[in-house]
Amino acid sequence: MEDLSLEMTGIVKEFPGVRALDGAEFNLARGEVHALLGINGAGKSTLIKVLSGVHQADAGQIELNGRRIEINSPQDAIDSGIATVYQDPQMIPSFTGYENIFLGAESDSAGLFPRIRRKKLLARARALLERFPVDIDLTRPVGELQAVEKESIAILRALSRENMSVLVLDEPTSILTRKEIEILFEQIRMLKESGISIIYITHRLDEVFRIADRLTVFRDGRNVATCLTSDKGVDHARIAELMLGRELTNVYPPRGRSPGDAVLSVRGLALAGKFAETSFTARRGWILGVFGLVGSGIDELCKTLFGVLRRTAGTTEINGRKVALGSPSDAIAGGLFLVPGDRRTEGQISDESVSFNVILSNMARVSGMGFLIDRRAERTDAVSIVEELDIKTPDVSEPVSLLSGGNQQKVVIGKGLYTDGEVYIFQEPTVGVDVGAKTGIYEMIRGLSAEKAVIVVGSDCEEIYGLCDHAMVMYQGKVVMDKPASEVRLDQMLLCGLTGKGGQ
Amino acid sequence: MGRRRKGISSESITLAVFCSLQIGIMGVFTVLRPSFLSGDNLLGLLNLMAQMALVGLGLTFVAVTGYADMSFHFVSCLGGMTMSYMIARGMAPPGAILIGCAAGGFFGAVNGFMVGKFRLPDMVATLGLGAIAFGMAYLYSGGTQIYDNFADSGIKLLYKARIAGVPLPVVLMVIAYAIGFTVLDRSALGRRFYAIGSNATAARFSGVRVERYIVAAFVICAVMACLTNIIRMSSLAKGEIEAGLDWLMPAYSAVFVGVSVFKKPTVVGTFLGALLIGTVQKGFMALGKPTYVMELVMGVLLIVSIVVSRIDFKEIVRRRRLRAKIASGGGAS
Repeated sequence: MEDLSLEMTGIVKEFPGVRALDGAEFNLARGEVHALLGINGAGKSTLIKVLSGVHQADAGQIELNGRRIEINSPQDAIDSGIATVYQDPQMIPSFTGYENIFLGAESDSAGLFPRIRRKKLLARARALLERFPVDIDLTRPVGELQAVEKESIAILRALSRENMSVLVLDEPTSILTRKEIEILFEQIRMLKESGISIIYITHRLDEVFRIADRLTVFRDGRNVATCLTSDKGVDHARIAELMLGRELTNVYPPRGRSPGDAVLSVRGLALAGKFAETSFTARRGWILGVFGLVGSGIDELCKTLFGVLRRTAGTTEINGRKVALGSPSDAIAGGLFLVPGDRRTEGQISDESVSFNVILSNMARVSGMGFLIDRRAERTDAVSIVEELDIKTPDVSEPVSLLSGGNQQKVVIGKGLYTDGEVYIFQEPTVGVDVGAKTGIYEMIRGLSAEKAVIVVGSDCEEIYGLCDHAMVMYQGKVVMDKPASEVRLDQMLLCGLTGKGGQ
Repeated sequence: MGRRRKGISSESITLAVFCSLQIGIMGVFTVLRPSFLSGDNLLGLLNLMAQMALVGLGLTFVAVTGYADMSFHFVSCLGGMTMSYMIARGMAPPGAILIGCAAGGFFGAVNGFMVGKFRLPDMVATLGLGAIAFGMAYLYSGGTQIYDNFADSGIKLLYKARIAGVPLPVVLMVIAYAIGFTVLDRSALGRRFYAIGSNATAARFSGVRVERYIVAAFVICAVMACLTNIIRMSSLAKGEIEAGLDWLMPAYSAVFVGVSVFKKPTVVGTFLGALLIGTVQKGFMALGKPTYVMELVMGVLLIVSIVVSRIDFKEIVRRRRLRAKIASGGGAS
């Protein structure tokens, strides 16, 4: 590429316990759309945060239009002409479109009470809008606008800066409908023609081939490949391979051989309005997978089993003994543990240390009469959990908030293991976890299932399918598929979860 | 893995700052009034801070669970007046003190249920209940002072008695802090209080019976406030309805001076806070300054300590170290 707009070289960004960017390189030609790809934790979002001034790089340099620049704050990035539009653009909902566009730049005059010329601002905003194939009422509060209109306003805000030359779009289509995506693509093409360079982050591979000129794949904090989208041999499969760095099929451990004895038996469990009467059995050595989309009732099923929500009917038995389901405390006492789907709000006490979190659900193990904590025993036990799960942390006294997503998840799992329960439910076990840690977590789950009954629940069909021995699918609060995984294909399972049909 | 991280922690920095501040303030008062450092005066300082420390300890429990209690000073009026009424009716002091504290504990429990179970906004709900408690405190005497039996029932001993020369309130403070420290800092119960304050949902998902602990925190806060106000009434030798009203500020100041040192509410921090505020109060008293000066200084202390508590020294140290490491070409961890 002869005409480079942006060049980033040797970018290093370290967080405690993890090097998010490890000598990353990235360049952008003038007027191109460059897709940035990578799985969660590959470093692409850290790169963008470095570029937009949210994070400061520990090493490396950034050149813009041939000149070296320092970006130490979001304001630096904006001043340099780099604008970022995030997934869900933050705006003031009660302000109108043009007020949001010029937020913080309402007036040229300085002073304590600069005059705001609304008519002039509106005229300037309309002039910007004319370049776009959309018609937005800029005088309406943005809170009343559609998703694509908000996205457009965020882009207009970026364009309102005179010198803007690099625009970063972070998963812009994730909240848009198919029709809205077309509008957005049209806008991107127009921006491109006017010489603006665009970094386009997405998970949707088909979009890459439709809109991008080049693509760069990130993995483990480095750029592993850059190529033209028109290059020969570049297709979905090749990109997926580059992103994962291994064959897809190798991610999951081998299936269980045969079902062991029943540990958990659920009969007629129901939560009115959320899911109908459901019965199933979880066995040792035989992972039960429950797949369902958001709103299918899987979240409520997990929470009801764990006593967070009060069931309206049904019984739960563990090893033939009835379990009270009044609260998570009852469930844990009965031998059931849920590794919740929303780690940050439900799983971890972020401000507290690894050891604090690990022992939290079973402090009796390190305290006489459940009162005074033996801190040496706490430390020993926490260290052994950290080693068992290969949690990467400088020390067990490190606050959980400073660990990476995968290690945080392992801490939550460690807390569960420490209760020494009989039944473990993993809800969305690898959300926000990078691929290396994913495999580790899958292997851990499989290993655990040798001794305990394990249920994995989630909306990631491939993951549930890859892990489970027995497949259940929920659709609108009902179980629509319930058969051994060996008798189901992945696409059947997905279709069943999407439509509720074909499960028999 | 088995080794603790070395280096200067943010706590030791703020602790050092705090100690120099404390010594500095004492130095200033000593220069102005050399008798400030006398044994009697220091004992008087401990006695003065004892009451503030006791209310602050109770409030620490509520602060640890992440809530605010705006009622404990009102409730302490009710507790104190209940005790006074019982004394006037001829009840022996231990029984009267127990009933006074129990009345407060009841209101604390109601606070806990309102906030923990029914999720009412803590500030407003506790303020409302506090007003009810304060209103009820008038029921015993219509607002007039209660003197009956105070002189000879022995209730005055609660303030006056000395054990090995140490005033009983100071002894009570030491005992209460020893228990408070054991519970909050060393026991499984304390861990749960902190877990709730940090993330109540995750605490619940970890098997903590969150509502119970919230109720317990508010009960402890109310009971400690009542006990303190009962000590004050025994020092006044009368049931005075408004005696407890001025506990709000010093208690919050003590807790937040502690937060400024340890970045979270702690028993030790509250103790240091009460010590600092007590020193300032005692100093101004020694100089013969009017009480409104104390109020003013206390307000300044509270705001300064909240500002300091926001500064993350650890992060500053961490960033500096990381930059040095990268500059020297160190590898990834």
